[in-house]
Amino acid sequence: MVAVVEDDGRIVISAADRLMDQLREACDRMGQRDATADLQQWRGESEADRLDRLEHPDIDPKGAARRGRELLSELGLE
Amino acid sequence: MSDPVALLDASALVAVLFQETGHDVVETILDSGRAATTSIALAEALNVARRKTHELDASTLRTVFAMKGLRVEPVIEADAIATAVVLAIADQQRTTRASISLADATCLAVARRLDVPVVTGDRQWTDLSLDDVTIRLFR
Repeated sequence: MVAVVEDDGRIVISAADRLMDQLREACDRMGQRDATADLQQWRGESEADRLDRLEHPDIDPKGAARRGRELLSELGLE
Repeated sequence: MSDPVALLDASALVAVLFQETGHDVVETILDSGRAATTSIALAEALNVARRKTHELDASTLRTVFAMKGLRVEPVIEADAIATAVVLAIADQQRTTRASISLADATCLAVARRLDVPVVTGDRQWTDLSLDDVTIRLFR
């Protein structure tokens, strides 16, 4: 649940799934560009990108061994 | 159990599951008995294991990690606030290569709370500029 302050000052408790619609309406009223779609799209891309990187890691084999040794040394686990 | 020396993210756990480059480094950390991960990172790793059709199921893999002494740290209310801060910083740095998921952000938040470095294979994390969180690559 979220609390939304209406134009007349009333505070309305609203279901969370209406929040984005209300944000868009508020943006329209204020004549501002609706950025919620951009934010949702970017967040979705971030989740998909991360899953893709986990499934298909970008491995730099040249420095991998050195980085591994340095890490173990730093952690005191050599 | 001793205090952890490092927090493993999902990519480190996946490296062990699929014997990827650097898995030996992660296994050394696990063998120390002082490795931790987050409950969410573990879920991420188990999800990747399923998607890549690992021969063992999620329950068995959880047992394997438990036998290796991996501590699974819960995400608590304080981490939620820190996670939101991490995401806000990532939003501000959108012009860089940085692109982190909600699970990444919680991992970084938990590492901050535990005051241990995060160990990851995801090189994009190193593009993030965060105070109070140390990010280290295992490969």
